[in-house]
Amino acid sequence: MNFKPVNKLPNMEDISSEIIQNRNRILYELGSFINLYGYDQVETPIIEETELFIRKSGGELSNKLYSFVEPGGNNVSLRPEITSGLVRTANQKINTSKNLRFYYSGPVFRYSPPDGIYANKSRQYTQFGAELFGSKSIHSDAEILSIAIKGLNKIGIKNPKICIFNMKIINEILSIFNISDRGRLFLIKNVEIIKRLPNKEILNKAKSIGIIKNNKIEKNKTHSKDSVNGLVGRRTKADILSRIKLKETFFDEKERFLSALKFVKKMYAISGTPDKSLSKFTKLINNYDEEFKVFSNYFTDLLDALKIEKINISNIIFDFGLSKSISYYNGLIFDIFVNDKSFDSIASGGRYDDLNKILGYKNNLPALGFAYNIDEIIKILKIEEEKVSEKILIQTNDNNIKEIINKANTARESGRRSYVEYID
Amino acid sequence: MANLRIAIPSTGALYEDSINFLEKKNLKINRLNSRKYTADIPSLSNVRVLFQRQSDITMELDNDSADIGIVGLDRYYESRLEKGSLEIMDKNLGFGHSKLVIAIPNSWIDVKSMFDLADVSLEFRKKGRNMRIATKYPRLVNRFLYTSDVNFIDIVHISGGLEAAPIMGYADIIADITATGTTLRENDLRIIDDGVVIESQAIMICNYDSILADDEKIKIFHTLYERITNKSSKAFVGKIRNKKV
Repeated sequence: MNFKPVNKLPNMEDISSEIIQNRNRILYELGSFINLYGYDQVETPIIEETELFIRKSGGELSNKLYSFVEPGGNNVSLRPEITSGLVRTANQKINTSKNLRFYYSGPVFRYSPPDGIYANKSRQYTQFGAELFGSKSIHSDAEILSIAIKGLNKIGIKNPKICIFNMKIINEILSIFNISDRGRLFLIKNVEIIKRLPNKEILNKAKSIGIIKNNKIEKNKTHSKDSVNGLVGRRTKADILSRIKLKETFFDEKERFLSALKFVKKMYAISGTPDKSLSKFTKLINNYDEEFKVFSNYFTDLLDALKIEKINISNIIFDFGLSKSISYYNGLIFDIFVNDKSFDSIASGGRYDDLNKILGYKNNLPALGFAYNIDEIIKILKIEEEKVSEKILIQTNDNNIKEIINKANTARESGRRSYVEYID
Repeated sequence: MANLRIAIPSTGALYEDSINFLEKKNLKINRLNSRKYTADIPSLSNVRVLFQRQSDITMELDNDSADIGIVGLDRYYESRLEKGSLEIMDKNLGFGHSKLVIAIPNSWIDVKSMFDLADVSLEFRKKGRNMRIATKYPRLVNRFLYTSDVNFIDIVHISGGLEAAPIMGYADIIADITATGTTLRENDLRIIDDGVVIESQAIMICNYDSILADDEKIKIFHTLYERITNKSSKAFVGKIRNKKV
């Protein structure tokens, strides 16, 4: 047989013992630290039913999943994140305590296409994260932020930059503008495009995908049951007709959509220290109705709560254009960076109070949490290799092996690393 | 002496067009009879032509069972290994033009765009099921649907006539190759305007690992490359040598 060696898959890494040592040390330090806040360590399976992750992300993680049919015939995926498995644990224990606190660590798997923006990103990496279930208090927002920041300080990252926003604000603002669900999704998911392109182009895009009514196409069209002819598959004629009706109400009027677009465009551009960004935001909302005034309250309340936690506010950035690709966040969202653009975000988190229901549980369970990308953190820390004193014993001939093994064992008993190089 | 192995489609329009194309490039194939699955090229010694199913050719090259192949761009992207050692030699041979498209039942008059289709997949989802799509191109179609936010789907693998799948109830919609759209129309299906997954044509590909491993093969490859592309082969061979390193 003339087999070629089997190489590792693209963007998968073989991890060296130095990195593992550093990783273990960091995970231990973080675990000990977070334990002081009352968080318990839990583990969930690496493989779960694909449905769990599809539900959690509203499908947005679908293209990143490593999915396959396991020998038992179930459609499963390697976990792309750990929160959704934890929700199960939380539901089993929610009767025992009002607030539940868990932390976890382990590998997660996310595929990224070789020609996309994450072409070189490792597809398996280690997450360390924490989740707090059962509280809607602003102090729980501050607690999660505080742990995420102080945890980094603990392991040697002194001045991380924390970008914060609140998804509830953008959702409520778009409700005031009376924007349809589709229009809202469009305006939230396309932050970068909205920041970059002129409004006219964005309007055209919205028109082309049917968010704004395109009068040329839709004018004078009436649909009756008879206009739905032939094969409808598993949909019914009623499904199709009711969706047409719904589409009519879906449409955003151009003027209304444009005024919302103009507002979010200005808002997305606001980013900076709490003082500066809040004053810009206040200036922006002062041009609008009275009901906009409440939206800056969250930020001032959060600042107060963070001050109680003794967080250094000078590293906080309120970023009104912080976009999260995963749509289930409904409150606080944040990303943490270091002051070096060559590194990705090292931590990310937020509030997702509706997740419990999205995953199929009946009760409401407020939840928020964050996860560190431990591999990225290790790259930043560039920790010096730990020098271990060790004894190497070399077998020199066939006769001295007994003596050498005895010496090695004696060294180990006194806590010294030692090993034998054998003659074959 | 090693033969350079060229895989070409064994049936259909791509077979005829490939033979004619090679003949025009002074590479006329000598196939003793139509049941024989190998042939040679008298004008270029030490070349063996292998007739294979178009859908298998990319995989055969990746498996090192052939060195060069003619295949549709769609099939290449669908089947190639991400970590493989294949490279496109000529990305438009001038024939085999087609499109891989998303087609829906004609009666879904509410669906005009992929944005609408994403909405319909949510409609299915709300009823506790996923929209099913039949295709022979699961990889390309999956990716296309996800980038269009059509997230709740089940891919159904069917090897026969895809157009019948919605009528038979195997699938709700299909993604299939079409040149004119006639067969789709005859089966009560309609292409979504922005539902083109990929525009394809015949391309020529090679496995640079298997070619560069053998000096004789490299020699033949130079000649063959120059006849096919009418360009010097130096730059291309330099490029694949770099890739191998």
